Amino acid sequence: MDIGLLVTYLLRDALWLMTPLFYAAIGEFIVEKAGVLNLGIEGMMLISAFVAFAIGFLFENPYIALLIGCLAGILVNSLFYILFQLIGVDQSLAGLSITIFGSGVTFFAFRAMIGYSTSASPPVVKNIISDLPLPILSRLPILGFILFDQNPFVYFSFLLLFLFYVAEKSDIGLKIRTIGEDPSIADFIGIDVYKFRLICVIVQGFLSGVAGSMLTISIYNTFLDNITAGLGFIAITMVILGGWNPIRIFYSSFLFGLIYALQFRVQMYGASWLPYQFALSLPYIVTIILLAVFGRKYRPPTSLGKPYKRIR
Amino acid sequence: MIGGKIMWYEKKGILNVFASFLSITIGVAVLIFSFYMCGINVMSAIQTLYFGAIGTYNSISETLLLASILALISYGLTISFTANVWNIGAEGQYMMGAIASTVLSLTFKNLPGYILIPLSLVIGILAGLLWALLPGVLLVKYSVNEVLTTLMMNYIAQYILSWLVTGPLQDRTSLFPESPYIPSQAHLPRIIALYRINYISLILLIALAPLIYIIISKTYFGMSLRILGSSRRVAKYAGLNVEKLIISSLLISGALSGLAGAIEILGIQYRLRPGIVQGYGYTGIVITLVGNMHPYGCLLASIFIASLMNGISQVCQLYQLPIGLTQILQSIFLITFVSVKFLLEYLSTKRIKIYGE
Repeated sequence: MDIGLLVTYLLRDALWLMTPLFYAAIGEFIVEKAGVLNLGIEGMMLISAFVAFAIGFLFENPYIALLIGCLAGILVNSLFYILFQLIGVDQSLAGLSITIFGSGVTFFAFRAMIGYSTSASPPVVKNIISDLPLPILSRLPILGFILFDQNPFVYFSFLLLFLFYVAEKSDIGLKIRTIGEDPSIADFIGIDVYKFRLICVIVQGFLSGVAGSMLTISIYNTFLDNITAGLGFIAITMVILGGWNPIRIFYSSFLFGLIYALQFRVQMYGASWLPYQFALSLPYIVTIILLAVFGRKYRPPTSLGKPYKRIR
Repeated sequence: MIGGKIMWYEKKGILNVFASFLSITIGVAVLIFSFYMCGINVMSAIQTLYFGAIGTYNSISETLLLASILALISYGLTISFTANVWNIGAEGQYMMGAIASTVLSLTFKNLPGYILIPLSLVIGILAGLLWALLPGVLLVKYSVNEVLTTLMMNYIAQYILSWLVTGPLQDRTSLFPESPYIPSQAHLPRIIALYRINYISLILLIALAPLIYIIISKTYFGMSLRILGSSRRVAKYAGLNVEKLIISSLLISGALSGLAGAIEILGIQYRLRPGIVQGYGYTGIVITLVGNMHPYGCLLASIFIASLMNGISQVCQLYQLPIGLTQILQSIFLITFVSVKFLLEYLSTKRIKIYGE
């Protein structure tokens, strides 16, 4: 394969494979701006991935599956909100509980769905959301193929970049940032911390619902145990590496998209001396290295992960 | 407390025990309800569960064996959670312990058992410890969130295991990805030849709980860990060596998880295969939290959850239920425990007026 073509394919695949990561990371970015550290994103993505898979399998309509998958994400995230904000569980603890809950529930539900004695081939979603070339733009020489001959999810992820303006320039962004820096001050100047955090958490539930559903109804067409494989935690890493800024989160997600794309290529044309497990563990190794090197470059929101409770 | 009588739910010890029991009750109720929903005879299902869990000598032995693995992991996690260090990597440390002890006992096949067994256990401990070292160093030197690094280390360990059993360590005579059997003198000595429970598992299960309790509640080290757990800033002001404490809490927890992995190989499986990875690391987290981060609580919770796991697997086999009931049950334990405990704590501190604390 000639190098130019390979690079083109790699870039296209990178943009495609980074999307679930980017959606999840943007969701996490929004809640972290409001001072909430959600470690439950992994479990949430798993649950929406499973729900989208189940609905897509039963009704054979990927759009309904996507919708219900997002609803599941919002529902699980509301549970997270109840745990950490209304009951007052430590945020890390609540998030980890949600993650363990998600993996337990999907492990059971998947087996309950496919039955005790599984057939040789796992169930497959027949209709998936596939590529949608944009009419005129996709005819552009190389860029058209990389940017505009893509999955619909990819186009929407370009749109998410406008969140930069919401975060930095708008009134709502300022209020959310204030909550993230110091909730009691925010409360003092009349910002409803509970309401804004609820909104952020619901938006995150929606976005990570999209990310999880995309795994089962667009990238793969089936469900596996622990299909997210740490993607939620890598998304949290993206927020740290991207320094709580959507544009930089896009860059770092793109880097991981490249790693995933490379990994696919290595598995396809892999050298026999290189075990495929090395390619598979590459994202995790890179995550640790990047966290060690760039983990402290940007300052997190001051009250990130700290409990806040208004006692009336 | 500001004024008023101290209610029963305001005493922390009672509150914790109450939360544990309530969560377990709710979990078991859900279990029985799910038996009912599956349309099987509830009473006979419970009978099967009892026989699978503790009803026969064999099931008692199996339950204690499983409990010893889970308890070792959760004793370690108790120490790191007490120091408020969230070690999610018990799973990976367990795998590395299993890998290291298998490799050692396969390499030195000719050593006598009384040298090989301690050597394999120690190398398992060392492997788990080393696997926890990197997240610890990253946490204190670069303040990288330990949840992220320990979790990533789990996945890396899993791929190392998968590579070893399909590559260098694979048994040439086997069709499955698994290593050859370890030499028979490396098997942990059984108490009764018929049942798999061995001396070392039983001793560690029972003797470590008071030891960990004494370490946490009676020693200087334990007190420092508790101070660190309540507030890192206070620990710094008190002049404690915070870096050393954080790393040592992670290392102890890694070492015990590694030991659990070594025991899984030397006492239960006798060979390395992907099937040893059954989410014990995460079950350990559930046990530690439901056991109130107290060694005796962990001991009870691990025996209870191990017996439930064994019993449920019997029920699932007999009645053709989907496996995975234990996983969902554990998550229900965890969620209900966490919410009940913090709800009670909230109710008990409601009358103190702290604004924005």
